[in-house]
Amino acid sequence: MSRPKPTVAMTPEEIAAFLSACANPAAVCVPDGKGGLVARMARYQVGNGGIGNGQPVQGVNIARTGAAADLPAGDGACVLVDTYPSYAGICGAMLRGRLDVDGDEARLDARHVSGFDFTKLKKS
Amino acid sequence: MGLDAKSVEFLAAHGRAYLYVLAADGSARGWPMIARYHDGMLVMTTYRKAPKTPHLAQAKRATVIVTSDEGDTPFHYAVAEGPLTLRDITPDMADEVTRRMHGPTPGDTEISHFRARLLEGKRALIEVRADSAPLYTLGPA
Repeated sequence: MSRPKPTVAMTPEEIAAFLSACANPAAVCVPDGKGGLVARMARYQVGNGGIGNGQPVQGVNIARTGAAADLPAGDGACVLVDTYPSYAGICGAMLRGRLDVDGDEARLDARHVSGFDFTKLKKS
Repeated sequence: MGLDAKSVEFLAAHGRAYLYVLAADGSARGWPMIARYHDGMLVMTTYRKAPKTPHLAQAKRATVIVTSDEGDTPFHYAVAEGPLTLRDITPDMADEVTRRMHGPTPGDTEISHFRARLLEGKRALIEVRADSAPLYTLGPA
């Protein structure tokens, strides 16, 4: 009998816990509608869902301040949050969806959420 | 167009990166990476069968955020943009790619493992020429 292939994928609950605990800023990238991309680092907070209420993460709120003030609204945005204490300790989450902006705040409504945790390889 | 000295110095000193391309469906796709700046290029590697590879193969340009080390205060980052090329790493390229990613003094265990992975012939080389790379500072939390 073959052993199941180890996976680094996070569960929705693990993604919520990771995003709530990670202090690193997010990488945010949005198509500019002219064939280019606008990419910035920004502070974020977990929006609806998340570890607080036990629901899967459905989005993040992004501080649209400083250099991130020019992040445009639009579909097809991609937000990455990760931590890299060592190769074996890499964890991260990716959220893709629509970015809406309102002054110095932006909100990503995630249509796709995934996460990876390399520490699972050690445990398997 | 050349980069200013501060951008070059920052890119050369940092490796945490986020690689973004515009996918065929018009959305942004991105991945955390380790990137090394070498001769005007941001150099990265990935598995040829990685989910990101088809997106990279169709993209002509890329945007790469290179950041300060994790936890640094103040936290700086550069947003590099330019043409992207993707090609298989053949065993005869292993030493050159190792040198570009890790410098001319291989020998430590991590570098040996990196070179060994390249020799397996399963990895691809990603190069993004940094035509521009403005520097930014993230405000305090």
